[in-house]
Amino acid sequence: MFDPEVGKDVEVFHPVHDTNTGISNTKLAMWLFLGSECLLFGGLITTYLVYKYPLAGQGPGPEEVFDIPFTSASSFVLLMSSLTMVLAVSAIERGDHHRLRAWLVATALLGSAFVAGQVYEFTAFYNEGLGFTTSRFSSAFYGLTGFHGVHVTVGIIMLVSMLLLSLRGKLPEHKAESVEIVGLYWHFVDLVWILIFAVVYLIP
Amino acid sequence: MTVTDAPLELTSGDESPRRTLGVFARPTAATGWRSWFTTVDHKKIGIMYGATALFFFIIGGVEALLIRAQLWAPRGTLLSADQYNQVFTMHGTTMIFLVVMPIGAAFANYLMPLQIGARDVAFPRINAFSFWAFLAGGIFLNSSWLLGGGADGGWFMYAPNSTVTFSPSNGIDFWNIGLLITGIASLTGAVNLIVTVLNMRAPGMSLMKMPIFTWMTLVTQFLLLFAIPVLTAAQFLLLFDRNFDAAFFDISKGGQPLLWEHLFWIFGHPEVYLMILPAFGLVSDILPVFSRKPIFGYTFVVFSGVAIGFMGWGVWAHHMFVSGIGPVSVLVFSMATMFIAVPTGVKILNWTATMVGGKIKLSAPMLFCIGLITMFTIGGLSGVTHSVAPADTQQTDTYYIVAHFHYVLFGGAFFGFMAGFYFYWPKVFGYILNERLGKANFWLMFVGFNLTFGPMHVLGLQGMSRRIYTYDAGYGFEFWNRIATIGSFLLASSIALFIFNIFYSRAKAKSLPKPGPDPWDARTLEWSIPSPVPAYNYDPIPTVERLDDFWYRKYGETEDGRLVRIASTEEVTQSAEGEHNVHLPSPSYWPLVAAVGLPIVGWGLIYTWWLCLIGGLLTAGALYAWALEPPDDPEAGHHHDPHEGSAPEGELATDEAESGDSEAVREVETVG
Amino acid sequence: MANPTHYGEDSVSTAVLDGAESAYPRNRLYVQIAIILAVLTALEVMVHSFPGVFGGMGSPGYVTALLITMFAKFWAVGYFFMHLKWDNRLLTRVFYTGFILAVLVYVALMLTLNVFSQGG
Repeated sequence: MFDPEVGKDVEVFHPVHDTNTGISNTKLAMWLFLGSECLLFGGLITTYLVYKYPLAGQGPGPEEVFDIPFTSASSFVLLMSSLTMVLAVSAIERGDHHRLRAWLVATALLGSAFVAGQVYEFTAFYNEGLGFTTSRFSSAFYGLTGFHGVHVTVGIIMLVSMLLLSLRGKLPEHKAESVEIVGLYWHFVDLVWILIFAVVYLIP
Repeated sequence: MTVTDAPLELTSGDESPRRTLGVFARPTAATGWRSWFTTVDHKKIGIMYGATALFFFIIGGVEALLIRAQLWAPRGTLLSADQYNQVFTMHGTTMIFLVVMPIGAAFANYLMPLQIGARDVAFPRINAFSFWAFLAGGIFLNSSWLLGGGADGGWFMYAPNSTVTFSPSNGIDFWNIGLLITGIASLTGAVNLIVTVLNMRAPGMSLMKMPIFTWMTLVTQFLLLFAIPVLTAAQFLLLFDRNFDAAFFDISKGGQPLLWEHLFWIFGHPEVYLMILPAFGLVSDILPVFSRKPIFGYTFVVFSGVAIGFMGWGVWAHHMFVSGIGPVSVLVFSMATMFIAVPTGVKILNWTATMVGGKIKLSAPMLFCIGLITMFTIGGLSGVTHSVAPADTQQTDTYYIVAHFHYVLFGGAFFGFMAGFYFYWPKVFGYILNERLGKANFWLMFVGFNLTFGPMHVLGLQGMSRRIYTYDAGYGFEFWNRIATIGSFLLASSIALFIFNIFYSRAKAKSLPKPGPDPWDARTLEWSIPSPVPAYNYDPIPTVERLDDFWYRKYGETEDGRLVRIASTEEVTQSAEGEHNVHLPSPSYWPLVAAVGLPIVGWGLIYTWWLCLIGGLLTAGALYAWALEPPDDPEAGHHHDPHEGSAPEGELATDEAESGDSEAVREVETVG
Repeated sequence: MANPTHYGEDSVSTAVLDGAESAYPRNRLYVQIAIILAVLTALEVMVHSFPGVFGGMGSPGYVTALLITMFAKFWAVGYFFMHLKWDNRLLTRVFYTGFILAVLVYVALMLTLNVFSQGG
């Protein structure tokens, strides 16, 4: 219920979880899944680090194609989407459904901007002669960042689903946690990009 | 899952259709064959895991018999070299991913919620999905036999042998995508079961009061949680290589075959432990019952299991001593491998000490337990010889290795599962398996097993290579190969005897008294409820005060330490009679539909892209329908609710439950 | 239930942000953390642009500087945005068990594959 008089003393709704640990099942499950994802992305990042340089004469290497200013900008976009996501969670905890929707839209748009940037980047690299099958570097690079991009896309789909649920009035305060769970996934995707940005793009 | 005042009403399949999404009627049947397709009951899912695993066990067993028949004599002609490659690859893959792992999952699903005093797992629908995805993956993997032949690269699928250049048929694609699908099943199952153990224990059941099987399930599922994604990452690389011409394992582009080996064994070694730990758990719970003593050193057994779980991550490169990983790595991984024998030895010691001084009753389950302890010790000792790198260099790729891992996987894990089958059969199906046939079953299996795999030690040390489809006369291989082949058919007949025993005992059971809730005079909580277990498990939920709580409700000690019976079985067990006001999670179609989409995507990846689209839409649509469907049918309690005027709406279920008693609130957490 | 209201891109303005801040004190913290994260990202780009300050591109000093900023960002997002600061410690343990395990096994993999294999 949106209360236009949302004042300073708004109670935050925290559902009581009478589980052994006090953590709700869904939240614990999401964190377990994220712990598991660390090993999945770890494997792909490791593959990239092992294959970072192509054999001589097999297409461009990382230094020749990377556009650091552009990637910095898209990294910043994804980072800011984490802020809007956490503000969306905070909004529904207070029962502020209008702001929830606004921040969900903002997060989804920032995520889409990131994915669009990735599509642009891939196109540019391809035009510079870096196809997926060109070299071990290209396979590893596209494999890793593409896999991350798919995760972002799935996140956007979940955000839009949340938005539609909210618009249809099916996301009351006591279900605030489902937004938080989607948020956890979204932040994790951001975490992975923090690693990728430093390890893949900046450290030679 | 909400506790309401409504009586248990799930049996009628002919009520007016209930609509979710305005289109599909929600399934309601709780009995009959239809109910198995939509069930979310952890017990039914556990039974389905077990039945499916036994089915695949027969397939994998036939493959094993083909191998042994081919090796009966020098220059065997039953199988061609290519067919032999396919058969041994599929035998290994089937036995590991479709037999041993799912039997572990079957026991975990059925027993773990009972042992912690829960009504179901945390996410009943995800549980159903895990099973169906496992089955879909298994069917997909085996569909390769009908579509051009199975995978032929060994279950470890080393690169670059696994690339299209060296294996142009589609077999490895089926292997790869099939195991990706079962990987999804394992991962969702792991998350589900970990949450269940951590969050859904009965009042008073602290972690250190849990039965050891539940502890081992927890460790196993953590191993799955962290090991499966490593394999998934490696399999994505292989998928892109084979299906999209990537360069991950293309030597001409600088691909490194050793990267696959590392990733595979980082997964593969924890995998070894997650296959054996459920059997260890079963044995740790069964031995005390037939020794009539508590387990010796409960904390040691628990923490040695946890230690195995951790150390299992630091030994993977001992599978790669001959691949040129360098002296430093060989040294480090040799040492780590020697150390991991310690916690395993601790367990062997604890089991032996449990039996010492006990009143041992050699029933069939106990015989299989002792079989595990002895056979696993042999397998463990031959394992320690692998940790010595110079010796391992001689043993690598010989039958000595085959002998070792069959002693730990069959002699260890499978003997433990057989003990579990004989022990828990009355709890699950309500009749005891025939004891005399059971003992014959044990001895036949024991002798057959040792005749099959014992000679392989000798063959290996004589230098016979594994994965070779035939051998020449005159190397001294003939005699032991014959013994092994004879043994393998004895082993197969022991499995046939087990299956015969199932049907024979069921027919005989009609004229015998019911086994009752506690036929073995057992120790853990699951024996305090009726056999077979009612749909709601416990009513009321028990309160636990100490380890082996159920035992101490039956027995007390006099001042001089003698055991005395303080309560009869009837006094301390629950009865299925009377009213049980428990509202259970409602069945659902969507887990099945979501899982059906996965292999369709797989066939699409191999043959034609539009199948991917169909499969993807099916899975995605099912997931959406699933997400929008409330975990409990809001109308299910409505028609039969004598106390309340209005049915709880889906969203109100939480509020209603919160105003209820503490049990009710706990049950709300079942949302999956 | 509130009337469904469609918000476009333009409605995501600082005005909304300000309102949110005043309504809920934790939001101010979130914004501060986001600013810190942005500054750290800017620092990373600076390090990349002027590698000489840290001993040259790819030198130990350069790599260390980037790894420190990277882990600082990683920790901050987890601790504040993902609520690990306020939630049950078990969640932190579960997640970092996976993360640290991943770091350990994969670093060991790379050492075995590329460093220690040279002596053999």
